[in-house]
Parts: sequence; structure tokens; C-alpha cells
Amino acid sequence: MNLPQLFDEHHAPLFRFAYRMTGSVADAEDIVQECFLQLLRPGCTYDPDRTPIRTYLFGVVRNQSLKRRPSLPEPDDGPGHGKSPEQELLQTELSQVVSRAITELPEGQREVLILAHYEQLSLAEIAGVMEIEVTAVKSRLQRARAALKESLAAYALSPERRR
Amino acid sequence: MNDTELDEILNQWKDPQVRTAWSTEVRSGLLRKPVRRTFGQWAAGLWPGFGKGLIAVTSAGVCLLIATAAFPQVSGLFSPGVRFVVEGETTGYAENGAIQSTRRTSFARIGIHALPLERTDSDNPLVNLTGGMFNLIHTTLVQVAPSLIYHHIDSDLARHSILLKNGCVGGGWNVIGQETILGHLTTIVRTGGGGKGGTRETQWVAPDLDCAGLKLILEDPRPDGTYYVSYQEHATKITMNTRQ
Repeated sequence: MNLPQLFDEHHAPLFRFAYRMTGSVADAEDIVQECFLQLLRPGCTYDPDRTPIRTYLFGVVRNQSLKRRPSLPEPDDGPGHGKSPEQELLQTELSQVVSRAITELPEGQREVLILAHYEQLSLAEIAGVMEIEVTAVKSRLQRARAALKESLAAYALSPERRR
Repeated sequence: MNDTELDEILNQWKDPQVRTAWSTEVRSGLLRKPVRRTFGQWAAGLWPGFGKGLIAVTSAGVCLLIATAAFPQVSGLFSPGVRFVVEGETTGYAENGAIQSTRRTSFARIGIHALPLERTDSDNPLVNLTGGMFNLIHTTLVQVAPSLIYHHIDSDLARHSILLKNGCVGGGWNVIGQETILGHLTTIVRTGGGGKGGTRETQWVAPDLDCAGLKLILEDPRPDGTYYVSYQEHATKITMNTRQ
């Protein structure tokens, strides 16, 4: 197993996932680091014949993230890419509204939504990560999206927010 | 709202970029070559009782050492593998500030591991002697067959390498200052607490001593959200191994 290569391939999506689960950059970095260090342990339970590495890694990050209470994500102070201050403000506000709405979802729905929408994992992969049936994943995803359509309804109607 | 509109809104939640410095540090930690199987691991694989046998033989040797006045251990244990020994004191506190326990401690640094050498309950000589003997056996085994003691040596080394590159600041730790203790500059880091409840831990770690902790304060939360000091540990003397 070439760990540096695995790290190069997977650390960015794992970091994003951990960040969205915990709302903290520091926690996300810590979790992803521990995730890869686990693979160095002689007692590491990873079996490549049974589980694809991506599913295993997301599973480890998921378990670690669940041990930390999610907080609202830290505000992103990155560059604005040529947007006006008003657009910046609107986007920052909307980003926080979305993150808050997702954070308020029940835990199982939140995980499924983040893995499906932001990390583009298939339903089967999500089922592997969460160790549940595909039908349960599908059901949680539907419920999560329905809840978000309701909680974010006001923001879909405002055209200037979507520019 | 239809599905496309929901997806558009969800895409407004931007994630922060991965810090290049962090990913470089972690990657370099993973580049460390795994530690070779030592004789101890090899022998333990062939004969599961090897570890116990070794402990028995080592125990006999250590007892002999004790009998020949190798105790107290701090000065006698200096070997090429030990970089330094830190002696210190610990104090446990009740919520009202009353002292519950005090101990003298000392630990040696061998590689990345801090090894307890002494842990003295001031009013219980039997416990002191038993603890001292256990620590001697433990320390001897670490030098003779480290893999018998440390089962996660590869990940420990990688983690420590990352920690050293980070100036002894681990992930999720907050740096709150610097202080010189016994001639060594330490970084003050805090973990826990911070609105999440649970014990708050503040450590004074010394980069020039392989990130050894020279001071530690644990604070437990009260129901009203304030904290009280429940445990304190601080170094009183650092002796470098000049034979290295």
C-alpha cells in the first residue's frame, strides 16, 4: 500500500467531508491525519479484498467526525473572485444559511446528504461507508432533501441571491 | 422548489481550501519507512510466550540491579538511548481548591516515548518501591525490545514527525502563548473545553526536548460553565544525558 499516493488521491475529499461534518478546519485536519495514520498500525483492520479503499477511508473519517460535536462552519475568508462586496456578503450569508440548515438535519440524513451531494458518492458507496442498506440510504437522502427544500424555500425565490 | 434549485442552493456552501502546509507535513510523515521487524517481534511471532519469558528474565536482572543499589534510578539509568530525564511534581485538586494528592515523578525520553521512571506517593513507601521496580523493568524492555512495548511504533513515529514539524502543535490544539521553563522555551497549547464541555487541557511543550511536556494543567467544568484546576504537573529539574 503506497500511503503517500493514497493520501494525494483522497485527502482533499476526506478533508471536505470531515469539515462539513464537524464545521471546524482544525478538527477536519486532525481527523484526516489520524485516518491515514491508522493505516500504518499493525492492527489495522483494512482488507482490500472486502472494501474499496475509498469506502474504508470515508468510513474512518465518518466515525471520527461523529465523535466530535458539529459546530457551525467557520466563515470562509478566501478571495472573492471579482465579486462586488454586496455579492460577497450575499454569498457568505447564503453559505452560512445552507451550512446551518444541513447541520440541523438529523445525523443520519446529514451524513447521507453530504456524501451524496458534495462528495458525489454513489448510494452503494454511502451504504458501505455507513454500514447500512442502500434502501435506507435512499430513504434518508429523500428525507434530507425534502427537509432542506422546506427550510431553504425562501432562498430559492430570490433571484439576486442566485447570481 | 425543484431539485435543480435545491442543488444550486446547496452549492453555495463553500468549503475551505486544504492548507498546503498541513498536507505537506502529513504526507512527509507518511513517507517514513516502516520500522523493521525487530528480534523481539520476530521471536514473539515464533513463540507467543517469548514476551513473558523475556519479562521474567529481565525482571530477574532488574531485581539484581535494585539489590546492587541501582535504585534510585534516575542517575543510574542514563544510557545512550536516553536523551534526558525530567523530574517533576504533580498535584490533584478538589473543586474547592483543596489538595487531594501530591506525587514526585520523573520520566526519561527514549526516542519519541516518555518513559516513567519514578512515581512517588510520599506517604506510601511500598507503593513507591513496587512502582519503581515496574518502571525499571518497563524502561529496560523499551531499550532491549521496544516493539514488545510499543505496538504502534510506525504510526507513533509518523505522528511524532508531524508534531515536530508543526512546532509541537497538534491538530485541533490552540496555541495560547510561550514560556521559558527551566531554560527551555515552551509553546503553551490548549485542547478541549472551548464551548464543547469536558476537561480543558493546557500543556507547555518544549520543541527542543522532542515536544516533551514540562507543565500540564487540567481543568474540569463546573455546572455553571466555569472551570476549576483539577490537576497540575510541572517539571522541577531537567538533566540532559551528556554521554550522548
